Order: sequence, then C-alpha cells, then structure tokens
Amino acid sequence: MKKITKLTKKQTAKMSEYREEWIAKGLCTNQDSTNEDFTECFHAVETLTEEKLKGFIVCDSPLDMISKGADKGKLFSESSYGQWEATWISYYKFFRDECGLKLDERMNDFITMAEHTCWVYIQQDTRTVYFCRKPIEVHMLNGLLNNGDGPSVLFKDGFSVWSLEGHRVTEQIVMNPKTLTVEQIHKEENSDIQTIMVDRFGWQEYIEQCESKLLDSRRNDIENTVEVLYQTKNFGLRLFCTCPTGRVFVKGVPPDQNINSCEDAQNWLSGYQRDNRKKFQTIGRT
Amino acid sequence: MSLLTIEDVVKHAETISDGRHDTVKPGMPQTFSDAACDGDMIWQGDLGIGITSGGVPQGYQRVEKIENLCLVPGKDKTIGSRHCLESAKGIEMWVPKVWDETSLDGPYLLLSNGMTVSHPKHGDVSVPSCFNEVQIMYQREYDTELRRERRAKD
Repeated sequence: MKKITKLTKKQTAKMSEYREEWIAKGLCTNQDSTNEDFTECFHAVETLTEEKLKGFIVCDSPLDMISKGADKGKLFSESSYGQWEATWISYYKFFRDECGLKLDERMNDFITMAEHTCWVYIQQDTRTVYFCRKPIEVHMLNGLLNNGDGPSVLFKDGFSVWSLEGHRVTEQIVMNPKTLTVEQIHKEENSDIQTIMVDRFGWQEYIEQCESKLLDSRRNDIENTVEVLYQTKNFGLRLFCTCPTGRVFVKGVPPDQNINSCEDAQNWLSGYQRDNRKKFQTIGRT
Repeated sequence: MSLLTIEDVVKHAETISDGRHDTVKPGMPQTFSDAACDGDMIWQGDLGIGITSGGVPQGYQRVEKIENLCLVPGKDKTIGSRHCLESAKGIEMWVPKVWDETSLDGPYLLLSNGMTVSHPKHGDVSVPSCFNEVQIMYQREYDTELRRERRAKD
C-alpha cells in the first residue's frame, strides 16, 4: 500500500467523530453485555492467543477477578484492558476504515472486547479467561478523573478508584478530609496531592493546627505569586505560596539555614545556593 | 505595613482560578525573551527551565535516542504526563549518570531550533531558537529530603 502522507478534508472531518465515539466507548458504563457477548469475547481471546482455552468467568471488578481465582501478582501487568484500550483502537480503526489501511483481521477481536469488557485476563494454569464488566460510574472533569463526592470509578461490587484532578487519592481525602492529620499531609510526597489535601482540610485549620506564627510575606511580581512564611511549633518553617495555576502550595524549608524571609525560602527551594551549581535567577513562573 | 496572611494567599489563588485576576490566567504560557540572559530561569511548577552556556556539565551522559519526552525521571510519556518536551526534533539530551527521584539537576539540553516544555496544568514554557543550551532543575522538597536523611541514618 502506498504511504499516506496527507488526509483529505473528508478524512480529517471524520477524525473528530472517531474521537467522540471512542472516548464514549472507553468511558462507557452500561451493563447490558450478555452471556452471548462474553462468549463472543471468549472466542476473540482464543483467536488472539491462538490457543484453545477452557472457559470464562465474568466478574464485577478487578478485585472480583482476584477473589474468583485470577493471580493477583500478574493481573495488573498481564491483563488486556478491553474498553480502556480505546485510545489506540480508535487510531487503527480510523486508518483502516477511512484510509484503506490493511490491518490484520484480529483487530476486530480487540474491538469486540472493547465493546463488552473492561479488564481481560487469562489464568494460565487453569486456561480460564476472566472478564471484568465495565464500571457502573466514571466521573471526569476537563478530561481528568475527578469526583469530590464519591469514587471517580465505581464497579458494580463497590470496588472503587478515588481521584481528584486526575490524581489517585484515598477515600479519606475525598469523603472525610477534615479527619486528615497534619502528619499525613506532610508525609505526602506529591505536591499536587498535598495541595489537594490541605485545600479540602482547610488552609486556616492547617495554620491553626500547626500553631503557626507569621514571620514574613510578600507580593512577588516576578513570579506572579503571593507568599507568606510561618514558623510552626512542631513542623518547622512553612512557606505558603500561590501558583499561577490558581492553587496554593505549602513548602517546608529547613530551620537551620538563616531563613527569615519569603525570598530566603524561595531561594532555598530553588536550590540556587547549592555550591556545586551554576548560578541562576528566576525571571518567571507558570 | 502589615503583613499578608494565609487568607490573602488563598484569596489571591481564588482570584486566579476564578479567572478574575487581570494579568495571571491559569495555564498561561511563558516564552523566554530573545533578550534573556545566561542564568535566567522560568519555573513550570516545580521544574525549572534555565538558559545556560558552557557545555554539558561533568557527570552527564548522552541519550542516544530520545524515546521518552518526559523531563522527570521515572515517568513515561503518557496522556496527561507532566513536564514533557513537545518534540525531540533538534534536541540533544544529556542526563545525569545518576538520575532518579533524589536528583536536583535534570537533563541538559542542546538545542538547534528552540524547544517547548508542556504540562497539562501549568502553561507551556518556550525557549526561542536564539538559545542553544538549557539546564533543567527540580525544586527542593524539604519534607522528602528530611525523610530520606532519617532513612539513611536508620
């Protein structure tokens, strides 16, 4: 086949249709796949693996797959992801159906599984295929998993994923943020998740629980931030600063480096003062 | 003059996130001016992008083929991944020989035609074609460093 170097206007227009269709399939939560559909999926797996398999079990969630005998140690690395394979399937299907690209017929087997299943796993010792039904709820905001009132992904048996702004978080952060402790907040290594935690816990509450004394503040016009530096009773110095994304971050800074101002704190955070490093100066932030 | 407090910080952040701030908008891109100087740095969240010169520092090794565009160690270029080169075209990447989550220095980039670092939340940061060398740096995390020190002592 001749190499495709340019799409026609009609083909280009079709791309958005494929995009919408396959995003919908990837996020689909309907539960109407029948035993016949799963039988079709089972045959698809046999075709793809070129093996005769013993049978299949339909499960309500990835956890249910484990409880029904799927190997926990291999399930996550060796599964195929049914509907969650939608990203690459959509590209291949577009070029096959709209541009005449010749593809292996087994492509249809992936499409079949994407229509009816979520996870798919073959337990090698028993030659059994485990199909996971699609989740019953998926919540997204701006293309990211997000739900501030419950799980972002919920399966029929209650197995859940909790997410805020696309970050995997705990149920406690979503449902009971006021029960978080300052120690839990400081233990979190991901700055975005830490900010989400304090946001939901309450910034004022955090300041009070840390028994903080205000040391310095500034409007930093170079970085477009507002910053305040507090001395806390048990958690050392804490710099609070806005970010041009519209969030607040809290950063610990060491107590033994003569840091008395927001500027000192920002300099330490940037690492500019490390001896082995070439000198830099901040001219902007986004 | 009275000091600002945490309330002022939170209010300022809300002004930005609500779109009411007159100059700062979430996800606003930044581009180094052609007049930028050696040593100027723009932060994209906790990742610093600095104009530099003088060649690749000691202790770096060349990445033969840039397959992963992410500028943070241990992260793949997947949908929604953070701090990634928009393209590897015209970029020679060098990384520290030991490049892991303890590193404060990131890749050293030799550019033939500028570059852009993208991020799903922060704005893109672009370096124009008049600059040829860029140092990537990471912001320090005191709590993490402290935990690491404690672990090392145990």
